[in-house]
Amino acid sequence: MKELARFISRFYYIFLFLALEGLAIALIVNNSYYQSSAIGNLFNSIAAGIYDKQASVTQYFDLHEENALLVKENAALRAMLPASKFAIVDDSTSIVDTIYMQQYSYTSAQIISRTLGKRNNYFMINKGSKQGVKSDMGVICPSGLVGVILRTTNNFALIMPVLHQDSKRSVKNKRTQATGTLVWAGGSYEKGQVIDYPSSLPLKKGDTIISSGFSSNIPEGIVVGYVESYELDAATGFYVINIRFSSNYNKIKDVYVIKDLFSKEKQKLMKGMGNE
Amino acid sequence: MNRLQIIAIGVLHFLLIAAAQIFIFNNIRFLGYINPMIYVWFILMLPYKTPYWALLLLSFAMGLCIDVFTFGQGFHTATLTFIGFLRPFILKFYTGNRDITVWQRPTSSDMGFMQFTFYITILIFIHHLLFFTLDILRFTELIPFIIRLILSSVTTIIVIIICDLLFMKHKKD
Repeated sequence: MKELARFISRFYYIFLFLALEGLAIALIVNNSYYQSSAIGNLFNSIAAGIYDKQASVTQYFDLHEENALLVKENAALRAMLPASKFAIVDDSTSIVDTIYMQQYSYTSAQIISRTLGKRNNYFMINKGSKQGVKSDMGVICPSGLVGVILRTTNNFALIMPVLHQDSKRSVKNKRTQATGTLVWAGGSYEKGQVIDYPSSLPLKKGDTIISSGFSSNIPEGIVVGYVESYELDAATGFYVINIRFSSNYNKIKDVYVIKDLFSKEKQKLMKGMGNE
Repeated sequence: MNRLQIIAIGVLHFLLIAAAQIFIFNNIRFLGYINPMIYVWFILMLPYKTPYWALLLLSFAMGLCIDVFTFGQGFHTATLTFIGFLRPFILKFYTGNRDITVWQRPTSSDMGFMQFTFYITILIFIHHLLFFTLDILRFTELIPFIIRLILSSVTTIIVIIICDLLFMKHKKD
């Protein structure tokens, strides 16, 4: 017994190490469970609170750049107004009688923290369930696509950006309308990949890749990036396209969370289909 | 009193280095994704005579802190705890039969520049190797993995040496 006690007191640090390392590995293995647990929530809101304080100080630093971006977006939106269009068809007999219904509404938010260097990255924004943000809503920024909402707390939300291995967005070529799937292979945050792109349709360097609108959370036509190079995947017969993202994910700060006002109706339609 | 002072300095170092990592170095990305991980320095520069249990608990706490603030999966915690466990075995080669006061730390002025560089290079390399193996090896090919491992390690080592020369110079006794 004495021997055992001496053995333990001599090598206690090995046991302590094994216990702590075991705890860390349990954290890694059960990550999805831990993230949704009370302690995971507490950790997330601590980080959120501190990042929010930091953002309230640092957001003034690049206000100039941010303003320029927003003004540019405003100009683009202004150009889309009916008032800035000239009617080419002057057909006196036709009556234009179209009534539009609002499908998407937008909530502005600021990114208060982000990771970029890891395989799976996350952005945190300063709007949460109290402001109507829910998981699975799409997120865009003035220069393009950002991602979807993963989790929310009362006043904050975590975004799964396109820089994540589980992020698979349906995209298409703006010129030819050919669709593919946007993925991120890790590495630089400036470059992404489009896979499952049909090789039968013409593709050019510099083509614009936009969101397809197939997934209900992101409207059609949001710019994603530009084609840099492409190669044929011999095994599948599809192109693998390397693209340069239109947004600099290191810089963007102001984002819009998109609320699809028809999502309930769409879900109703899809209900029951999963069982088949 | 001595012990209390050392603990107070330790707490201060913990907060400063964690804050530097979270607010400054996590926003630095050389070549798009090379991100210096200077928080390891906190464990590397604890006094020689730090008890094992404190070393392990502090490594765990620092790792967890960085994980919480990067929404991580526990990779920092697992790797840094291992570094805390490994440190005494590596330092044994450097202390030998020297008389060591409770104040002495493994810094460049205490160990000599080359010795210090060698010491941090070993541990930083092991740390980065483990971290990147957990984080990205499943998803990348070997060559980009090795390039990223080497570039990141070198960046971290250089940043730690600069910090050591700037802040640790006059703490010899």
